[in-house]
Amino acid sequence: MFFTLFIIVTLCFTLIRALPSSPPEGTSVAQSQIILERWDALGYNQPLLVQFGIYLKNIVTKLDFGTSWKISKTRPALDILIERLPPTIIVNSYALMLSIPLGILLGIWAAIRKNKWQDHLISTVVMFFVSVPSYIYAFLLQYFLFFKLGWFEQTIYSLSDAGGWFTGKMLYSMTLPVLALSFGQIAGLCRFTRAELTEALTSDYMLLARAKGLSYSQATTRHALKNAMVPILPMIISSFIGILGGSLVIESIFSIPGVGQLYVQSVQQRDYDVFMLNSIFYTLTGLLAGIIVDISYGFIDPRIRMGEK
Amino acid sequence: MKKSIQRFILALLMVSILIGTLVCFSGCSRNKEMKGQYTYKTYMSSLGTNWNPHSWEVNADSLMLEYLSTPLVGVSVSNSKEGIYTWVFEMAESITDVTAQHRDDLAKYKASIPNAQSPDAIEKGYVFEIKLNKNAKWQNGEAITADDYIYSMKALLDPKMKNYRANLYYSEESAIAGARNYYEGKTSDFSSVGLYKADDYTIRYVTQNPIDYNYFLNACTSNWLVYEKLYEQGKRDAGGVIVTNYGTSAETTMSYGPYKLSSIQTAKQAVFEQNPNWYGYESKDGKLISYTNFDIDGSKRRQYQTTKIIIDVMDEQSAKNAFLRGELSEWSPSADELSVYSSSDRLYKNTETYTMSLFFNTNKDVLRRLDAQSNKNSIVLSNKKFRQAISLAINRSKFVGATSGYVPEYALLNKLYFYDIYNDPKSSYRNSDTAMKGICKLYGVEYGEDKTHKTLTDAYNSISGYDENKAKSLMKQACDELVAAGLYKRGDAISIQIGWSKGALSADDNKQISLLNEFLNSAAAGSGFGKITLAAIGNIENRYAAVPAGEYAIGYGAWGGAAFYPFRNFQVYMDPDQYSINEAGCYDPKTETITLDVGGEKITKTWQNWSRSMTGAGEYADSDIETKLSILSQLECAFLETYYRIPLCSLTTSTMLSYQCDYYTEQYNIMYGFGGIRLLSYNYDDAQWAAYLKKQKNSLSYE
Repeated sequence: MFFTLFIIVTLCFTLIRALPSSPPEGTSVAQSQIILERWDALGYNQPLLVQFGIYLKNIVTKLDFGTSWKISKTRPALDILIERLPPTIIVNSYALMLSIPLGILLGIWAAIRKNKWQDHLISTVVMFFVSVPSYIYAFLLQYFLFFKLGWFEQTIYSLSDAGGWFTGKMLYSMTLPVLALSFGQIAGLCRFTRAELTEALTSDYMLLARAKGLSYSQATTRHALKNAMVPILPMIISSFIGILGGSLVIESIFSIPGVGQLYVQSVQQRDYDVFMLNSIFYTLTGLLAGIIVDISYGFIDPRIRMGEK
Repeated sequence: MKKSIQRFILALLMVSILIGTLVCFSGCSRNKEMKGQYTYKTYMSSLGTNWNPHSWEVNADSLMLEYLSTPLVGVSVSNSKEGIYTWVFEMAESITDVTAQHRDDLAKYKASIPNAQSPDAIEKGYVFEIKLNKNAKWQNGEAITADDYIYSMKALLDPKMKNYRANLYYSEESAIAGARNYYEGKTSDFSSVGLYKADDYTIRYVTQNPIDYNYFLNACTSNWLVYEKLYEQGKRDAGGVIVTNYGTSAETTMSYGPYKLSSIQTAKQAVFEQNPNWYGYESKDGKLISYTNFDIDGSKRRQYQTTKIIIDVMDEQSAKNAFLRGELSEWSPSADELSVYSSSDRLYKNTETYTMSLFFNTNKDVLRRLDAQSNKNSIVLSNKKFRQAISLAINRSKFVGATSGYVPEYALLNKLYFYDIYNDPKSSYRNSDTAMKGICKLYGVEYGEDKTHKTLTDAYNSISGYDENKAKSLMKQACDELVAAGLYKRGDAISIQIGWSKGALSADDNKQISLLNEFLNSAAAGSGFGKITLAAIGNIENRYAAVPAGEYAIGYGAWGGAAFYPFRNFQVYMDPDQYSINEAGCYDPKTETITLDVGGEKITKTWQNWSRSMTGAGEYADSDIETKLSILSQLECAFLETYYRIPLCSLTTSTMLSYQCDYYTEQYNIMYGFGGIRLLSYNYDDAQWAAYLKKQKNSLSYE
């Protein structure tokens, strides 16, 4: 994992510095000179390997991930990332809290009512929500639920307006981004649950369970559902890790000052240190998600535990 | 039966939860609207992150600074009908030219004296005494004294800090004598810099070069004050450069303007409230009220009626939605939407000083290299007639008509440049006889009794920069010349990339480039040239540097600003020691010369020296206005005749203003805009506005 992390960090460091980025021009020669002098003093004109070595040394010896010079001038990059985490985590957590139960319930209902009108209806709606990108929902939700009906806010409140991240006002203002994020996840979970449960319901042990005298609902909940959840749970676990990453587009549309928006800004404004920290963060998150999911398979399904006889 | 009852109870429960949630949420509106409070709500795509007056870089930063600081001298309305402005002494009580009384300072601080003059004979233009406003205080109530100004300038010019705005005070027009040496570290003694304290509330400012009093006042419309304690506390060594976090958060900011920063959430929202310690407020019935201490249209006026300013970060579509629901006080419609609101009386439009132009790299080696890479036959740009044909082939009215937000231009300086605004508010350079004559001569338009146009004004107004017949003729000549020189094969296609924009190309950009292709191909038809294709390239970090660097043969961009002293503006085209010139390979302004007629005498100088001659210690800096106008106009036409740069259009800014408030005047003025936040008045306070919106069902029409 750490080797992979190192490779990715090296690639990101090299690539961002390789982007066309001569020091920005001032309006006059004197101002351009000032910019060049600062650029030089900050070490941006040194060879790439030297810059990378200094960067790694600062991380290892001082846990210093660098300074922001564009997005939030002179602030440590780590402080900025930490500041941007809460809205991303909160919005995505709410989205998961809504999408997981709804997605699973709808999937179960569709599987139980297979080939009936309920199943067809759910499948059609799922297909629609899977096909349409989340930013389309976002604009539609803003237009209808805010602009036309005025039921909700189109952007989330600031801390000053809401009084904190966990207040009722903040939750209210997060309704639209949560919905926009949820639809796709609900559709995905629903489809997956339906497929797994449908297969489980047609298994031999279900026939045995019914033959033993269990009712249909008892057999479904005690046997089929448990087996169907085996592949679904790791998907949910990786979603939990994935909430750290955020959604770049949704954050921009709903003005959520989160990690996704920060990443886009750092690339656009060539804020190197912030970009690097963000990249390290995303890489770690992705690698961690993979490891946890792999390990979770062993806990959930005894058949695939390593070393078992 | 049991199951159906269970289902019914479950459904009832879910409906109750839903209704309960909606009832709770209905109380979750953003703010409680206050009676007697006037909140101005605006938006930006990104908030300022550094409003330190020493190092701010982008417009978002300067907007924050505008609310938190007060200049030494401001500008406001005197007579809105006539467009007459007035200087307003703010942080300065008075500014006086005391050069005659302090001639010693010139030698002491090593000011630059023009060769022909003796220091003893100099009467004005170097030493300015600024009497400070004794009522000025910091946000925390501490008095602002001369020491604050001296400390702040010392910090600004600190060689270890490399402050972004330092150049304003060591190299621009109002450069302080001795400041450059201090900034460059040649001396560590700040007493060698020509800014010193005369007493606790008086400072003297010695300029490196002579400057007109009004231009000095103009230079004092910004301020360099910082609060020492916070500035020093926030300092740290960032590996080679000393930086400070002053002006990056509410905790590291000390206001001395009419507003203070009460909260800021990065990338989300900034809130400003009235600064109770600002000298301009008086307390009345528990409210902070302020009136101007100068007359506007004959009487004193209420100023800074806005009690709170909220800036939210949102994208353009969200801003539009919010504006139409009454949640924003202003909104800037995009070019596509302008046509919908063009007849709205809430739409405020003004032209900017920036003239968008095509500029070229005509170096043959660069063009050949580009032809081997991304272009095809861009070598044709090295031919002057080809470039002239481009200029005449472009129907600028059609070019700007296809999109909104532009006006056609065919000269370098548009009508927003004033040559003597301090004495004559109507002294528009573009409308002066001298400038009009120059352009008429350039485009070959005659006037007189026996001509098509009887008067100069008629002749000038008839100019459109478009002459397809002449363009066709020039295209043919250019093709023949290029073929004869072996640079071009008749009939070959021509394909050239244009470094177009910093951001991604918009629909408007695509429309404009499509039109350019149409114009050029129409003019080139039958000339011998093959199909011409211009391709706009976006997402270029710095196209102004990319063209001289040989990455593109053509760039699209603008110079602007400095509207009150056009006499030094041409340095951006002709003085590579002062400005990074966009055009390249075209000519060497430091060695090539031109001859101009000055008062009947033919004078020859280099382009660079001509651009410097009317400013600072230049030969004609103190000449009469007519002489300077004549030189300026001749220089403008001479440069335009080279076709190294082809002006196309100027940008306009459009703003929709909410029914909640009004600008002071509907007539835009380059000096005071529409009156600004200072004179913004309200038709409704916050509570009344909320009630009005409820009545309108939160849906407003501005068409």
